[in-house]
Amino acid sequence: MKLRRLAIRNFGPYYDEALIEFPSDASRNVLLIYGDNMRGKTSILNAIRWCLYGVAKDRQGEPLTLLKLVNRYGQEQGQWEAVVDLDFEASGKVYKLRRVAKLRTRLARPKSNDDFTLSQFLEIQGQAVTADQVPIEIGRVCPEQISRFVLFDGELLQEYEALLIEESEQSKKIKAAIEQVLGIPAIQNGLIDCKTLLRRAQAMQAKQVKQTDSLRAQAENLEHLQAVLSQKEKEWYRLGEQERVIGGEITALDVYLASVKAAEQRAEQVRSAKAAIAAHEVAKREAEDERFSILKDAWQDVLQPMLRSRLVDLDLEAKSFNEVTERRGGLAERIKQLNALILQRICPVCEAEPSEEKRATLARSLAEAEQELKEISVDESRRNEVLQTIQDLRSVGSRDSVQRLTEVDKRVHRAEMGITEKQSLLDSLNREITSVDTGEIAQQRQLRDQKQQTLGVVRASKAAAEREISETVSKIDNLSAMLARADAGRHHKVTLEVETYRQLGDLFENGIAQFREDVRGDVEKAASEIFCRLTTEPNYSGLQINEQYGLSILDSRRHVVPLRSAGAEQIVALSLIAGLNNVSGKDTPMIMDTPLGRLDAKHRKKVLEALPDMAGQVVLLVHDAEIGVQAGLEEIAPRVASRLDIQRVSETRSRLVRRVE
Amino acid sequence: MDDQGLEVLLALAKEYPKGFRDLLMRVFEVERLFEADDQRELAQQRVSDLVSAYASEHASAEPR
Repeated sequence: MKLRRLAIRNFGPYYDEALIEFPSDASRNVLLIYGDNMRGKTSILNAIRWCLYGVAKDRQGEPLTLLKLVNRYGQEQGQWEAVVDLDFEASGKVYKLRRVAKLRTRLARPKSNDDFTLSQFLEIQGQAVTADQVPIEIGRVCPEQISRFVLFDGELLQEYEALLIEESEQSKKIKAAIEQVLGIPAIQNGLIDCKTLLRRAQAMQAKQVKQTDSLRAQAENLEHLQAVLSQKEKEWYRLGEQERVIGGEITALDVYLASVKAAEQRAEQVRSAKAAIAAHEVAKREAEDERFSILKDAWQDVLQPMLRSRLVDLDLEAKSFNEVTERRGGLAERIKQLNALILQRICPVCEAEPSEEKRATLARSLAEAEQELKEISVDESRRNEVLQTIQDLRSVGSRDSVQRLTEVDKRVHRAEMGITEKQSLLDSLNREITSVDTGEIAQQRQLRDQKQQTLGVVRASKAAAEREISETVSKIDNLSAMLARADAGRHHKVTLEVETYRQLGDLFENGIAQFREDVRGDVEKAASEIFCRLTTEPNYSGLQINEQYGLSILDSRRHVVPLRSAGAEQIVALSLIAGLNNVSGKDTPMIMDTPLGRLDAKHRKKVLEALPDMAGQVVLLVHDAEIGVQAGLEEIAPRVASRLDIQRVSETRSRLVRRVE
Repeated sequence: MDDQGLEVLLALAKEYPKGFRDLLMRVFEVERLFEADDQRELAQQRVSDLVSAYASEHASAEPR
């Protein structure tokens, strides 16, 4: 399979047509598509997957709904038609595949996948293929089971670790996919078909041999055993069907319980959001109370300018009272001194008797002082009033109301923002939660446990039926062989048919075991060679494959390395994929999203050097840090056919442009 | 890889007569063509035709 062209419209972040031409030159077989996170790298991988198989997955491997796939800008414009075209070549033929999702008529806005119609169109060499044949043709070229080796997310390669766990469901699926890549189903089907046809031929053999009198009893016994086998096979199929139905019911219950678990988690988030809203509301209420309290005293700040003016006046008045009081005190002291001087006969300075003139001067000064003291009286009542008023006015201090109100308003705003944010989350969560009924959940869990027990009983019965079938088949085969010998050629066409089916069946049965052994060895060898090329640890000597195609790292003494890092896991998984591509002989492309995310610089360099040889076409969806202009590009540059950039147009739209260096 | 599968089968059938080995190749080819699960009936019909023709051809030539 060789990809030619991919066109994406109104899908993922691509509203306008995004066109990718894949490399056509084997010597320059690498296409690099650069994009920052959230720009649409995985959407390219998903567009190919959706076009081929009608499924797109998120990074958890869960299917994405069409509501999530249709471009958001397109949705806003009422444009709900998403189209992906994929042109490719296989077995020398040109395939043109188109998948379209359209909104059902008379619907303005879809609510689920059921509101869309899906169509797939395929032309092979210009000839249209009927709708029912499209999946079959796609299955022939690139079956969905093997797409995990074609389209994959580099960061999710650790899922191959499941291969090492015997009998895990994931392990079975991957093993089946690997064996499909390796061509084992053809031999498996050969075994199934030959066994089925052998049973029919043996029935015919019994019918014909019964005509020979001497063999009638054995022939009738053979018919009886065939009837018993038919009965047991019916029972086995019935049990198988029961197993399938119960398994389906358990899966449905698991899905329900998983969704409930998600809903329970959502419910927890709802509780948390409600608690946060309550806390914000308390904070808001407290802030509002404080604002009210501030406003209650804010009149004081309003009065402050007038109060300050009044205080200045009163302070001046109080000051003048003080000055007068001081003056009066001074005058009283002077009067006291003058009286003392007048009464003294000898001057304390010159010790002479003062002259009359001097005495007269003292008497005048005394009179003047007494006069002045009389004139500058203090209104004590007014003074007390002024001082009291000053004290009262000073108690009406500044409340800093404006600043405090600004702070409180900020707190109210923050609380309101918090409430809005949490309310929005709450609305979103409530939309997701229909109802979480704990009683119902407990009941469903109990039902699941019961079903699991029933499944165990059914499986045990089925295993017993299998043993009985095997014993009956053995008896039939022995009797059929005996009849063939005894019949001695009288009905030898049917006898030869029986013998031929048996021989073919035996060959297919032995062939499966042999072929599995061979291809496992081939995969181990090819993967080991690639692993040794990729690893930076000189002591690693290769890989060891197990029955499930799981790979273990071997050290220099060929002992299994017990622990390995996520990066080593990625290297091992890449080695397995490259080994499978190598052994299968199928020239499938490799499209990797974030291929180098877990690797250190040395491994990155080695992987980049090896990647172009791992598949006929290699498409790497990367960001600049993975393969940048500064580092990484030089290892791969000679093999790069072209480089594209995913550019942001808006939050909801991206576009693809050729990278200009 | 498909050829490798056939090679394994032919190696296992190396003691068988050429006619049988040819039949094995044709049956394998049918199985490879009709690999899908929903094509079992078609594959069985084709294999049945091949084996019937083989038995008709060899029954008289190789009486048992």
